[in-house]
Amino acid sequence: MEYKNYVSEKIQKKDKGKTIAIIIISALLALAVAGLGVSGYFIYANNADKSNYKINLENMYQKSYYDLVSEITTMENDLYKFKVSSSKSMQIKLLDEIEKSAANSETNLSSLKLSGSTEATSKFFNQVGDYAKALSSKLSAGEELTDEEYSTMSNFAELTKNIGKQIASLQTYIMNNDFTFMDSFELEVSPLTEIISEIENNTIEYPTLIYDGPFSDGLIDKEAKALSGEIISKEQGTQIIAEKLSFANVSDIVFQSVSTNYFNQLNYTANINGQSTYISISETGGQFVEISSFKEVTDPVYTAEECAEAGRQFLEKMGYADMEAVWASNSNSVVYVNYTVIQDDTVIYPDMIKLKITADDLSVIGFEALTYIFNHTEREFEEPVLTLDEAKAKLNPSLNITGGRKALVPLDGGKEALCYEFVATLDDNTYYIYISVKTGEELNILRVIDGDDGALLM
Amino acid sequence: MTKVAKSIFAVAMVLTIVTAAVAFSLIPYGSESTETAVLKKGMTGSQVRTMQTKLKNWGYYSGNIDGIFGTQTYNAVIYFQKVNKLQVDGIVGAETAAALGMTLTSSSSSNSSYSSSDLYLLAKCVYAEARGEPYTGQVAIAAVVLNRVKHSSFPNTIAGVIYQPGAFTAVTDGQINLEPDTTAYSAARDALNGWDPTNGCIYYYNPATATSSWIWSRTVKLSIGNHNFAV
Repeated sequence: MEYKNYVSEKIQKKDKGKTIAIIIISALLALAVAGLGVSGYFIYANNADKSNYKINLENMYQKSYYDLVSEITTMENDLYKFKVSSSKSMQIKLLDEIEKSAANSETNLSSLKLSGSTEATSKFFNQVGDYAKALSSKLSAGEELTDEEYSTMSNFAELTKNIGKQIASLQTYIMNNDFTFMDSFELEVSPLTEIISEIENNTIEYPTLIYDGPFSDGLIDKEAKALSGEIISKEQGTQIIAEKLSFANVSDIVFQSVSTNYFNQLNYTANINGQSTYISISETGGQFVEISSFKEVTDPVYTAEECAEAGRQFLEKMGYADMEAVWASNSNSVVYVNYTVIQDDTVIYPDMIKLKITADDLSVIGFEALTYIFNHTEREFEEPVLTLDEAKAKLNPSLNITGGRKALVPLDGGKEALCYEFVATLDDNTYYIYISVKTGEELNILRVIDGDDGALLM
Repeated sequence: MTKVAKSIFAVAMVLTIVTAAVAFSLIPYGSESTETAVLKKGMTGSQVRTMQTKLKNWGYYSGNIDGIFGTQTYNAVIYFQKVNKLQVDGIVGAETAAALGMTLTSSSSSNSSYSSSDLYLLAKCVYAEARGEPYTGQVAIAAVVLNRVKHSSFPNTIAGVIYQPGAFTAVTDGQINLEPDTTAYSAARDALNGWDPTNGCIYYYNPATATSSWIWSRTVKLSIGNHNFAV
């Protein structure tokens, strides 16, 4: 009995111990389960978040795709309608619509996530839009379109139809397979890549286009009119920099590289007034193309006008006479000034050199003459048909006009036109208005943007 | 410039990478909230400069007054916080700022005078793609973006070019959201004013890290720093 009691007691004790152990274990288990549950929830929530992002992103790509398809369809329709239209007003309307849908097509195409280049396709849309715009302005100016222009447009119609068909064929994949734009980006070869590369390499073929627009192929081989003279060696280049910038305390001129593009350039690093500076000159004739360095100005002393005058003197010392400041803008006490050639009392805007001048010690830390090098040449001016006053009379009568002078301005497609330039204000806005000396037509209107701390210097 | 060749390979416009060994670019995206103004490692600007001047005047800091919150500045802040029994975290928040005798405004690392969104976007792209490169190399990056805007084979706006999927790695990996420094702003402004050290290039890549075989087929026109520029 005693033994039994002892055993039962022991069992009881054991049971008690067990019970406590079970309680502890189950408490721990409960905690663990709760913990798992909580962390599981967070993992779940996190994943849900991630998949939400993915869905949203994929939706945006899909939207771009469907927008692209619909813009191409619109463009194709308008191009075919243009083919049969005979009235100028309808033609202009269609051309403007084509320009718009071509631009939208390009925008949607370039926001799609695609593996593979879309450059040829982008170029096609850009050129069709640009070309349509050029034809529209031609018609608006009262001119007639040539047979060649009509046949280019009809070629565009055909190409647009083919591109549209190919891009729309992707829809079958989207419907039948689990295609997503996001996944397709990871694949070397996806239906999308195949379609795009087929369009890029085989569908788009049309002759070189030369017309008055910024995307004209005629602008690709630009001629640098200001470049003449001997090809110089890198040693001669060092010599030229040392001589021409000796007044600016140039030192440590080290040749870096030759770069090629529109024309060959020799690139150097140097020290100008203690500033580490990059200098680029043309290989033909050793003309300065660019000087660039960085300096933060904290304590400005001089005004923009004083900076502009210092810059003019700098240019004179470099050998550029007859240049005048036409525009200055101040950004954090670094003043950018545009100078142009003045010939026969005419501001030659295409012949422009830009300088960057610090407002603390009037040092020139930047020089840029690419536009000058492309455009500068001796020019013969046509005799104006209109006088300044006649041109002024053509301006909007509600304007308050403060200036008037002759100016040569660049046009799209690399052309130039002689104009009268007027500065006009209306309400709080300042505008530059350009009237052709020949036709009296408004060729351009520029608006000075608020907050741009620029200033006209006449 | 040759006619733009048609591309064959994948990841076509992936231009590359950023090598830029920039000390602390680890500011989480969007962390520069406007609610609490703080100065911390990695930031730049006039307020950092003011803080450095104060720390230097009181002997906590011996580095340059360069407006860059780098390691030396960070150590100076830690030192200052220890001595003044402030929370030692190396971050200049309201308390540390008050102890320094400064008032922090929320746009601590950017300058409010940059009003143009194009300038801002371009500066962000320059900073993300080319911080640590020579100054001219940074102007060149901005110029490539603008050359693309003008080029018929690319989108026609600055935002369109920068955010074209796959075009810039710094956009793909989110570095584009870092706050640009004054150098990047200056480089962007130079490019907007017409400076183009690349003379019309529309591609660039880092030959040390470029992975796309396609990019090697481009004609290199110029190299600056770690980047090759090409058409």
